[in-house]
Amino acid sequence: MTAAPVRDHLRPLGLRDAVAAELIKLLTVRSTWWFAGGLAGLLLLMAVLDSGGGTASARSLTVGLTAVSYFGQYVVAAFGLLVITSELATRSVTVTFAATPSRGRVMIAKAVVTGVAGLVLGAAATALGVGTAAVRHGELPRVLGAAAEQVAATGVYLGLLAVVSLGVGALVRRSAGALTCMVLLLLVVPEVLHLAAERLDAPFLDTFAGWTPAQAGWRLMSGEWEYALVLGGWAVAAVGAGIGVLRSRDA
Amino acid sequence: MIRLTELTKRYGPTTAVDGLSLELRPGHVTGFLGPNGAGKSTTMRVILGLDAPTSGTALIGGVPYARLSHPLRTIGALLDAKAVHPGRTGRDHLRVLARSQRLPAARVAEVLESVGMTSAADRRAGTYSLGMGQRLGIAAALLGDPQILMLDEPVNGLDPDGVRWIRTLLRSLAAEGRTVFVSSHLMSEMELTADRVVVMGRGRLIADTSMADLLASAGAGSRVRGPALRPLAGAFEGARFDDDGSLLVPGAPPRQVGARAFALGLELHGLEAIGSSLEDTYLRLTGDEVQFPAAAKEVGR
Repeated sequence: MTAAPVRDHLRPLGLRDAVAAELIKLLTVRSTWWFAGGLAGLLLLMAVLDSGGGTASARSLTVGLTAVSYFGQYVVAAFGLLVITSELATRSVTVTFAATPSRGRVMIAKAVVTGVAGLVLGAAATALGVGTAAVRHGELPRVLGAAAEQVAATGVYLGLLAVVSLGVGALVRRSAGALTCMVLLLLVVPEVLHLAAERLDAPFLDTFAGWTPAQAGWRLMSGEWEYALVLGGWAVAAVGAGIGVLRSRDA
Repeated sequence: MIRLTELTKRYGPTTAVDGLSLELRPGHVTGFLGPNGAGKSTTMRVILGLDAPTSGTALIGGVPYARLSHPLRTIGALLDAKAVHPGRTGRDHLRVLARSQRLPAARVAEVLESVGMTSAADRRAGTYSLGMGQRLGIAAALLGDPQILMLDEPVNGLDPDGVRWIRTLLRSLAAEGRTVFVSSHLMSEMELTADRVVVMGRGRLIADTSMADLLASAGAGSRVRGPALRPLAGAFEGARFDDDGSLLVPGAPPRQVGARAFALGLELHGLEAIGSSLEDTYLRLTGDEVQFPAAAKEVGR
């Protein structure tokens, strides 16, 4: 077949173009670098402040787990939701939708970029923190394999968490409200479920609590990789709901 | 070409656009006029697919906005100069848009140059004045070299040089055969820029005509001076007192006004013909349609 060569710019625009545009957006605002620096700083600080006492066999791995669970995940949640709420707040989302009319394509492009950024930043910060702690405790050679796995798992967790948060941002539309929802989801909901399980003698509620993002994330970072699927489910549900809201509302 | 058919947009109980049918053709600057709340911005938002119409259609070259394969190459729009992330530079803002449309990166520098923003391009948009924001928004609209341009109040915040620049720009774009649709509150500016006029009031179409016809239909008016002109003012619809106390009677030539004054037995100190400006015509057309009248006298409607 001798089809006439289609000029590159005449091919229909697609997800790749939207992803490329979203990537430029992410790299050209300072907040991205603040979040990256903040996350890395947190992990480093925990690694340096950790007393190293006790008899834990792999102290440095605990540092990574606690730093992310206690602090790091909230930084990543804020990072993810701002990707959409900052555009809604400045109304620059109208420019985005004028360029890419498909709400679904915009959100999926944002999810791809936010997820990959969360993964890369999360893994890099964890490598920095865990590596520093391992060197300090003189256990680097011994924990290297486990640390590598934790770095990868933490990257996956934080990448998926950033996407969940993006979806919540699209649902709630306001930065403060979305951040509140994320703190509730990560911190309060599992506690309430555990409490209810105890009071009502309903152990299945404990199982539900284990499926909330933060607890699934803890297990993922501890090496239970099947919890990546649970987090993937959260990410798909949140982004799907976000697309639904963006479609149903006027921009 | 843009075609609106029976377009209606309601927000809850408020009807922002009410059965608007309109066709915008290439080669003209169409001025879009109407009081605040008339539905101009809503109409533009619906055209861009930002707001979904309650009923009716808005088509660009026969398809709704969402189905355009290259939106910014088809229609360039400026709706809100402040709708830019304040932390991103003007240049980066345009780079994002260029990449989203698979436009060459070199196009960014070109449009920045053409709107006179090259020197400010690497400052963060949050530091821009309203006028600079307007220029950046116009650069974004021009980025894809589109055949249709739609600008909401583009001269807002521009200095006199900027106003003249945009007038020249819009007219040259129309002269190249493009469709230019521009809203403004500045009647004197519209009179100089637009060759077609669409007037809206309370969501409805009031006029859709050429500028020349609109001004001609209004006809010449009269300016009257005298000590006690109230009875005369009451005799002509649309007559109003000017700031200096003289009476303006749009649409009625001096011969007619003089005859009526004589019939009423009024003493006149001066009577002259005046050309009807777009502003007079506009005010007469929209007089009943103003959503937020200066003196709230909406009783017994």
